[in-house]
Amino acid sequence: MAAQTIQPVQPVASPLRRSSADKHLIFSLGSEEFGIQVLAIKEIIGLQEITAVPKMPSHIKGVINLRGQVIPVIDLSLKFSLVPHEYTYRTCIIVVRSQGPSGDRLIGAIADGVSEVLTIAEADIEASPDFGSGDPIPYLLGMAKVNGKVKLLLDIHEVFRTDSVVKIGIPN
Amino acid sequence: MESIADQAGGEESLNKAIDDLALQLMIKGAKALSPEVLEQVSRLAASLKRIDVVEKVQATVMRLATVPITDDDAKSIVCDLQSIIASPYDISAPTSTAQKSADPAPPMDFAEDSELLGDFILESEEHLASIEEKILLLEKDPSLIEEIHAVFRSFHSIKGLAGFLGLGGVQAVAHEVETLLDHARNLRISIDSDVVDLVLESSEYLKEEVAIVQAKLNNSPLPEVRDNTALLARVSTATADVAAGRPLSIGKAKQAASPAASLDQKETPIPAPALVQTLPPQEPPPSQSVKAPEVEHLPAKPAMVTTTAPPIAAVPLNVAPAQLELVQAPVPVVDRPPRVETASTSIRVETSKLDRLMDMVGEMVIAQSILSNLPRTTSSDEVRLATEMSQLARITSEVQRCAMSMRMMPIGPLFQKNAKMVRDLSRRNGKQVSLQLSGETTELDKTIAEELSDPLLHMIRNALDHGIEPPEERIAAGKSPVASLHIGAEHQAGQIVISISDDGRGLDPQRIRNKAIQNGLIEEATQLTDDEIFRLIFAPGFSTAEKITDISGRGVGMDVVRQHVESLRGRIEIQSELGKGTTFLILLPLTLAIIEGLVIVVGAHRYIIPLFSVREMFRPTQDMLFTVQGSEEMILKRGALLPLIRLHKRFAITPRTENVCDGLLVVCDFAGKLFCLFVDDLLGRQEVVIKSLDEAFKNVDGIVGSAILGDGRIGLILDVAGIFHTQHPTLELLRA
Repeated sequence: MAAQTIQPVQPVASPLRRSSADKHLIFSLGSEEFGIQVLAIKEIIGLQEITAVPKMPSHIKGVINLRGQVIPVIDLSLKFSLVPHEYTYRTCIIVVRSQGPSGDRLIGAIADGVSEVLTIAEADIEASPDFGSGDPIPYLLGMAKVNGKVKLLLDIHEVFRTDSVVKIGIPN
Repeated sequence: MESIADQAGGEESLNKAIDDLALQLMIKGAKALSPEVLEQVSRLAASLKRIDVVEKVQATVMRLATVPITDDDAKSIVCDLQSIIASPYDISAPTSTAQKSADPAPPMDFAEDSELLGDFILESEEHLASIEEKILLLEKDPSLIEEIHAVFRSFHSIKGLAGFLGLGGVQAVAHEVETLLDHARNLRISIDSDVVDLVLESSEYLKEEVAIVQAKLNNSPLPEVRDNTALLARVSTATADVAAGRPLSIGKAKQAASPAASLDQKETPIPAPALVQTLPPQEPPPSQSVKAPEVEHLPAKPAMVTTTAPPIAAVPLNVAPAQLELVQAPVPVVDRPPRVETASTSIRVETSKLDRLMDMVGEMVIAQSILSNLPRTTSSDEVRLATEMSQLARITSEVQRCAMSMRMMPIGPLFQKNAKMVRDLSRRNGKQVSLQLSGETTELDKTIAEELSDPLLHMIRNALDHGIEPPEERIAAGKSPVASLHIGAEHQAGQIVISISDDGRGLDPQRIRNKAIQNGLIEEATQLTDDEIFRLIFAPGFSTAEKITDISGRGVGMDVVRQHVESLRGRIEIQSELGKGTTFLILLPLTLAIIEGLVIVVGAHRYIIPLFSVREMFRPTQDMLFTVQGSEEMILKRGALLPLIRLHKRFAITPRTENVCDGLLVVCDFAGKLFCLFVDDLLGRQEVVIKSLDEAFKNVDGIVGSAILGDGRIGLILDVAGIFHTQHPTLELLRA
């Protein structure tokens, strides 16, 4: 019957999301620099009081009040199991509009500091590296070389899809 | 290929002719349906070899010649024509009318028309609810001509919508009932209980059909489809009887269709109007899928596309009259409390938008309270500021009240739904029940009303099945044979109280006690007050009905009812006297969006405990504290031993104090179980707007949501049951 053939519409990866040749917000976690597509970002706010939620993994810091909306905040350094840094005046929360299973949700990501918005050409992006394990890291869109420095471009939706701590970065 | 193109062009002009006709009908009324116009349509159809259309048109012409038709009839005829034309027709195999109309309409494109179908479902549900309500009124007083009109119009509107959407089964049944009611409103028959039965059964069928559409829309499994052939036959028999001036034979027909009765029907020449209007039974919708493959391989596929389009353009024609009628539907009835007008001047708004509004208003209220609590400077502006602030406070609370009222709906429709069931069940049980409703205009949150439907249904069933005795038993007990069942709703101290009371046999504490002992719920030696014994009926596993009927005892016990009500943050109370009757009181909050809570502190964290689960609070002394097996702690309070739970341990946070005597104990209650929660301190009592937490926190036991406190910071709302259930297993063992 007609009705049964209709599947719930799957969010199709739009060309905009998958093509990395786009504007990226560059932020730092420790000594490494990362990029998130500007399209996914709602706003950047300063660090504010975070209400801890009990019994959560350490990288989920808690919830904040974003003008009446209660949104979760995740420390990206802890999520990627990097060396955590003290929060400074440069520490900020990047509010990302992420696609969850039950519609869009807002998530705050704590970064050690944001630096700039870069337009990165497709040619400057290399595919996410294979470190020998065989599987490419799903939340790494690619790596961009800008002025001789490497920036890791994140698929932020993929990052938030898993709640657990993930490993990222270039092995030393 | 040329012929196919011709065919497409011809169909287009046929469609155009019908649409013109519909337009003319809107303007001129039934007069527009003249034989000349119909002749023209018939010619067009004949040139297309659309025999089905030709037959329908000619039948109409015949009917025009015999009786004058009303505007409504004319509309429905054109409606039918549109749907016939819209349905694919295989010219290569001309069929008779009977076979043709048994062919289902083309399978709906559910994706494209989901919005239309959604509207159809909503409107149909409204109409069906109104039908049930009005027909029950009519049963009491068949002379209420306005009500007959209203029921007629509702069926008519459903028919129109269904016809347009190609829901053949719905359309056919609605059409037949409409015809029957048409006789009623022209005073050719009076509404007796047979007619009421028939109408109710039809509306039941329509409800199922609507449920099927809904299921298709949601891609959920389809419910059983009932065959409407028998129903259709009965309604049309009734119609034919009326038209022939005979007394209704449906009563007989219903009683297992005696051969004599059916013979009688066959022999009677059915007069022309009835013949024309009696559509042969349609196949239930699921068989529509059979049609799809055939359509696929037809070369004339482009033509198909064009033929389906025009009816969509004709939406306003079909729908507009229905809506107009809805507005006109007269509601006031002399001996009933004034009902809230829902149809006339309302618009539909998505609930998500209302929720968002509620949210923002809640924020506004909080922002306002922060503002008014700011430390004041001492200046000459102070007085002015204070005046303006209090003005703002007034406006804010008015806006809040307003926003809350938008989510509110009267409880009346919910009661009406049950009124019908009471009628059906009491008849089937051979019990005589007079049902009284009160407080139907009491408003409650829409979500609560929806969630309440099942528990209420179950409790009324229980009252009918177990509470109310059969007439003989009542007479023997010196009561009137007619039992009274009262369902009422009222506001009481910021709560809504729904009462279901019967004057039946009442709860027997001794029997309940025995049964509980049998089921292992309590020990033989346990001493319980009557109230405590009554509460046992809510215990899981109690409702192992001695006698399983189809009314209650379906395994859905009172514990499910209790769970439902508790999930709405309400509770149930029982008052019962043996031999006199039972009253169940359901106490519910006004809204789900706001709760009143106690703000408590543990270390640097603040939490909110919903006030409805707090029984008392006290500062303990050392002699109240006992330990069990050196680890679990109990508090002795007024002779009762309550388990002690330290919130800081449960949440692994650092408290200000570990010493129980330095902190506070909050006695929490969930499902009748009490325990003490140890916290550092109490900050106060506050109304908060509940905000759900992100999905990342969905597995956290003991937290149900969050709220923004007066100072803009977030407080987490505790889930008392969740905190208790993560309890150490040894304690559970001890309790058992």
